[in-house]
Amino acid sequence: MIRLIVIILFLLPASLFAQKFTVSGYVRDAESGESLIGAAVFNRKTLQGSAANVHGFYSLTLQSDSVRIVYSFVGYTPVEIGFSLKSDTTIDVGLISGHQLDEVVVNATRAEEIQETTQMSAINVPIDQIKNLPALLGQVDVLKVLQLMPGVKSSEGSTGLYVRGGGPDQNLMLLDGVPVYNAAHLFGFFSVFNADAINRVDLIKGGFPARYGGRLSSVIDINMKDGNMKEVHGEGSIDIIAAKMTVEGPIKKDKTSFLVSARRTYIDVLAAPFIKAKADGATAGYFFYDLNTKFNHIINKRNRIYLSTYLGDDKAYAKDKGSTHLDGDWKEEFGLSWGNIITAFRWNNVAGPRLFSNVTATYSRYRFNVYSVSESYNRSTSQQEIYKSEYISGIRDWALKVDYDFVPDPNHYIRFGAGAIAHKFSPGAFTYQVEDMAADTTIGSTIIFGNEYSAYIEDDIKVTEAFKVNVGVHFGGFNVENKWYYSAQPRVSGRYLLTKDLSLKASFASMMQFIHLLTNAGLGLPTDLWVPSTANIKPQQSNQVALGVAQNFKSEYEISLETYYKTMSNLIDYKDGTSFTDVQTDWRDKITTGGKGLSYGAEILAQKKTGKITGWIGYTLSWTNRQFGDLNNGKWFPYKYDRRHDVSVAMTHAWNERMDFSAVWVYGTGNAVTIPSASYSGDTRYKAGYNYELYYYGDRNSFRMRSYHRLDISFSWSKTRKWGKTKWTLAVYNVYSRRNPFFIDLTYDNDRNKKFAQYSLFPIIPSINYAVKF
Amino acid sequence: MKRLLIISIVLLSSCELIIDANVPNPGQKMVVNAVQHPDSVWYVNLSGSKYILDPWYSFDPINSADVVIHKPDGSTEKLVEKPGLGIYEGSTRPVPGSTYKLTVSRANYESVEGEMKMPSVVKMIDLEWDSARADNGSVPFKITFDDPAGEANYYSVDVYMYVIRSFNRYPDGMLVIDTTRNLVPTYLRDLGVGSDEQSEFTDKTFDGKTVTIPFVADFVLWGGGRYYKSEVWFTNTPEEFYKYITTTRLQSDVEGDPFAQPVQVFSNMSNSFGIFSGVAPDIRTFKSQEQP
Repeated sequence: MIRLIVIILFLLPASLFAQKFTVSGYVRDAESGESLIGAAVFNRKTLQGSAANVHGFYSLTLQSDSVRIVYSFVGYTPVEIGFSLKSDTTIDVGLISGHQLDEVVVNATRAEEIQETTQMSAINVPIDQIKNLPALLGQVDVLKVLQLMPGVKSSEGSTGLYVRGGGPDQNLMLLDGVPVYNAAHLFGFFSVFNADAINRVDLIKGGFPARYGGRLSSVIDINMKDGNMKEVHGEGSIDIIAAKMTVEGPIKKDKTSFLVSARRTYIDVLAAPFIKAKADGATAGYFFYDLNTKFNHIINKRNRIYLSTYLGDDKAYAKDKGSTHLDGDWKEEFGLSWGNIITAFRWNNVAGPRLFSNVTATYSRYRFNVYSVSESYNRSTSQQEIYKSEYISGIRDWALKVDYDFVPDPNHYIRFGAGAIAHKFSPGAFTYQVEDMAADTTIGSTIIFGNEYSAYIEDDIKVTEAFKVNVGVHFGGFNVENKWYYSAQPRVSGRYLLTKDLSLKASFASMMQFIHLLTNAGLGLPTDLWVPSTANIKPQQSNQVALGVAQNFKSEYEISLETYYKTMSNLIDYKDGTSFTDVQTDWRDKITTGGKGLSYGAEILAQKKTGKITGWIGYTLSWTNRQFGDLNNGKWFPYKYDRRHDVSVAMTHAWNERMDFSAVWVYGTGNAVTIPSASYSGDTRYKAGYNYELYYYGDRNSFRMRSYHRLDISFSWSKTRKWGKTKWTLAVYNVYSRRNPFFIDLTYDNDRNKKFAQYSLFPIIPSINYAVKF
Repeated sequence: MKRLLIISIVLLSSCELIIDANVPNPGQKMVVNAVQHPDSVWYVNLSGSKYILDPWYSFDPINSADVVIHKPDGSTEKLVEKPGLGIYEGSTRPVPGSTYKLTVSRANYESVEGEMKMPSVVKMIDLEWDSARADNGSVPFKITFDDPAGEANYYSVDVYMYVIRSFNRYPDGMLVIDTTRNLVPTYLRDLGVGSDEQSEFTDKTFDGKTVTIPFVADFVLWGGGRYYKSEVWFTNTPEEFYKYITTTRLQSDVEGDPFAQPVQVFSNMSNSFGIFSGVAPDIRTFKSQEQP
C-alpha cells in the first residue's frame, strides 16, 4: 500500500502535465455566494470533468486547446464558458437556482450521478427535502431524516443512529469538520442540528474514504451555510414548542458575511403558571436552546477564512419548599443540564491551480451535570442541615488538522492530510457534601488525557472510462496512560460501468476507534459516557466489505442495491445489571470488554430527486449479533437493534408553487430485548431476604418486541409577500396512533394477574408551524 | 436521576398497553436449593419453577425424588424426604475440603446434577466491634484475617442484630432477629475486590496476605427497639456460591429499572435452576449488657 502511495505522489511523470493547463476556481450560488458542494465541472468537448469540494473549489487540468467548460448543479441553471486554454486560468462561477433540469444539465451532471462515483454506501439528502418532510412537533430534524435511510436503525424518539449494526458511538458526526459528541436535545427526541443553518448533509455507511477516521460505522458530515455574501436574508418559524430565527448577510459585500441562527423551546415558560398552581409553590421546567454563528471572510482570491461556532444547552430543573409541623422549613432543588460548545476556525488556501488546502483548528466541549440540594432549617434551634450532591461528566477536545486536495489531471484526485486531537475525558465523578464537611467526597473517575493522531492519503483514479477506483490509507495513533496504539487502515472502493447508466461497485474499509460511548438505554441520554481506550481497554476495530450495483434512469431516478459484511472487535458494553442511572459506580467497574460484532445484510434504495414528486423507498434486510465472554454465557446474541426488515417510504409532492404535501411511512421488525420466561425459588437458607423469587431470562435479547410502524403527513401552504414568503405547515405524527413499543416491563393487570406491559412514547401528535422567509 | 427520567417518560407518554406477549413457556424445571453448612446434616430443597405469567405466588415442592450425595470415597448417601415439603435430609455432614456430587432424579423431570467442594473455615484473627455504638444504629467494625495463599477465595460478611421490640401483646418485649443489609465496606472498592453495595468479595488483590477490612453495619431500631446481641459471620464460600449470591443480589437491585440490562442468576446445576454449594462461617457473638 505504501509503495502505491509513493507511486501516486512522486512518480506521476512530469510529461503528464506537458501542454496541459488548469482551470480552477469556486462554484457558488450567484444569489447568496454559498458554496455549491459537489457541483459538476467538465469540458464538453472531451467529457473530462471534476467536482467542487466542500469549500466549492474545483480544479480541472486539460490539454491546451479550445475548451467549453460546463458548470452545473442540481436545481441550478448550468453555465457554459468557451475559450482557448493557453495558460492556467481562474474562473469563479455563480450559478442561478430555480430551474429544472434540461437536456444540457443531464449531460452536465454526469460526474455526480450515482453510477459514476467510486463512493458507495453514501447518501446525500437535499436540505430542502429534509425541511419538507413531516417532523415530530414541527421540529425539522436532520438526524431523524437520516434514520429513514436503509442501513440506519433507530429507536422511537431517539436521534441515535445504529448504522449497519454499529453502536451510536461509532458515528463520526462532523459539524463543519468538528466532531459532535452528544447530538441530542430533550433526551434524544431532537438533534442539535438546526436545519436552517445547514448547507449540506452527507451520510456514509461504508467504503469510507481514507480522509475519514476515528469511528467504525458511519460518517455524518454536516456543513453549515457560509452566510449570504450579497444581501441580508432571514428565515424563522414558530410552533407549539419552539421558535427559531436565522439571519445571514454581508458585512462587506462579496468580501465578508455572517450567519446567526438561534432556537429555543418555551415549554417551561408556557407551563410555569400551571405547574405553580398545581404544585402549591413548586416549580419545574425544561428547555433547550442552540445558537449557531458563522463568519466568513475572503482575504483575497487565494485565501479565505471561516469562524463557526455552536453553543447549545438542555436544562431541566425542579424546586420545592415548605414547612414541617415541627417548626422547621425545608427546601429541595434538583436539576440537570448538558450541552456542547463547538468552535472551528478554518483557513482555505489555493496554493496553486491544482492544490487546495484547508487548515482547521477546533475546540469542542461536551458537559453533563446533575445536582441536587436539600436544606432543612429548624427555627427553634437555628440548626441548619444541607446535603448537596453533584455528578459531572464530559469531554473536551482541542484539534488541529490540515487537508490538501491535489488535482494533477482529470484522472486523479488526490487528498492527503494530517491532524492531532488532544482529548480530556472526565468520565463521571460523583461528589456530595454534607453541611461543612471538608473531606474529599469525590467518587468515580479522575480525568484522563489522550492524544489522537491521524494522517491519510487517497486518490480517486480513473483507470479507464469504465473503471474508476479510490484507494487510500488512514493512519491512526492514540496515546493514553503511557500506552500507544497504532493502526494503518487500508481503504479501497471502485466502480465498473457496465453501461452508461449502470455500474458495479465494491469497497473495503478497515477502521479503528480510540474512544467509546457507554450507553445502554437506546435513548440519547446525557448520562451516556464518552470514555477513552486505556491501557486495559483496546481500541475498537472493524472491517467492512460491500458489493453493489447502481442504476440511474434519465437522471431522475436512482436505484442502488448493496450487500455488506462487517466484523467488529474490542467492543465494550455494560455488564449485566449495570444501569446508567447508577452514577456512583466508576465506569471501569461497569463495563465488559473484548466484545465481537458481526453484521451483514442487503439494502435497496430507490430515490427520485427531481420533479414535482420527490422522495425514496428504502428496504433493509439485516442481521446483527454480538459476543462477549462475560455476557450470555459467552454465546452470540442478537444486538438490540438487530432488525430483520426495515422499510421506509418518504415522499413530497409540490401541488403547485403554493402547496406541498409530504408523507413518511416506516416499518421495522421489533427490537430484541431480554424478558423473563420463568420464575423460581431462590435459596433462603443462608442469605435470607433477597431471593424468594428469582427470574429466569433465557438467552440475552431472545424476545422480539412488536413491530414498529408509523405514518406521518404534512401539508404546507406558502404565500409570497412583498417582503418575502410565509408558510403554514400542518403536520400529523403517527397518523393512525400506532402504539409502538418503547420498553416492556413485567407488571400486574387490574385483576392482579401478572402481565407484560408495553410502554409507548408518542400517540398521534398534530402540530402546526408558521414560517417566514425574507 | 432515575426518578426524573421515569417521570419525564411518563409525562411524555402515559401510554401503557397491557400486551399478550408471546413468551415461550420453558416448561417446569426442577429447582435445587442446597447450600450446606458444616454444622448441619445434608440438606436439599426441591421445588418447581413456574411460567413467568403463572398467577400463583408459591412454588410447588417436588416430592418423591431420589436425592443422592456422592462422596469422595465412592460411597453414596440417599437423602430422606420430609413428606410434602420438598425437603430432603441426610444423616451425615459435609467434610470441609472434600468434593461432593449431588444427583436428583424424578419422573417427569430431567435428571440433574451438580458438584461442589466444601470450603474450610477461615478464622478471623481479630474483630474490632464496639457494642456500645450499637444503640446508635451504626457500628463500625474491622475484620482481620489471613488469606490462604495460592487459592482463589471468596468471602462474605454478614451481621445479624438481635433487637428487642415492644408490642402491645408483649409489653416486656419480644426478640426479633434483624439481618443487616447495609454493610458499607468502603475499603473493598479501593482494594478492587468488591463494591459498596455488597458484602461479598474476593481475594484477588491480597492473595496470601494478612488483611484488615473495615465495615460499617447500619440497622434501624424500629419502634423503640433495644439492641440485645449481635453476630458477625465471616464466611468462606466457593466460587459458585459467590457467583450465585452476587447475581441474585444484582437481579434484585435492577428489578423495575427498564434501562438496566437484566441479570441471569448463576446456577451450577445441570438441567435445572438453583445452587449446590457450601459455606464455612466463622461466627463471633457480642452481647449487650442489657439482657432481656
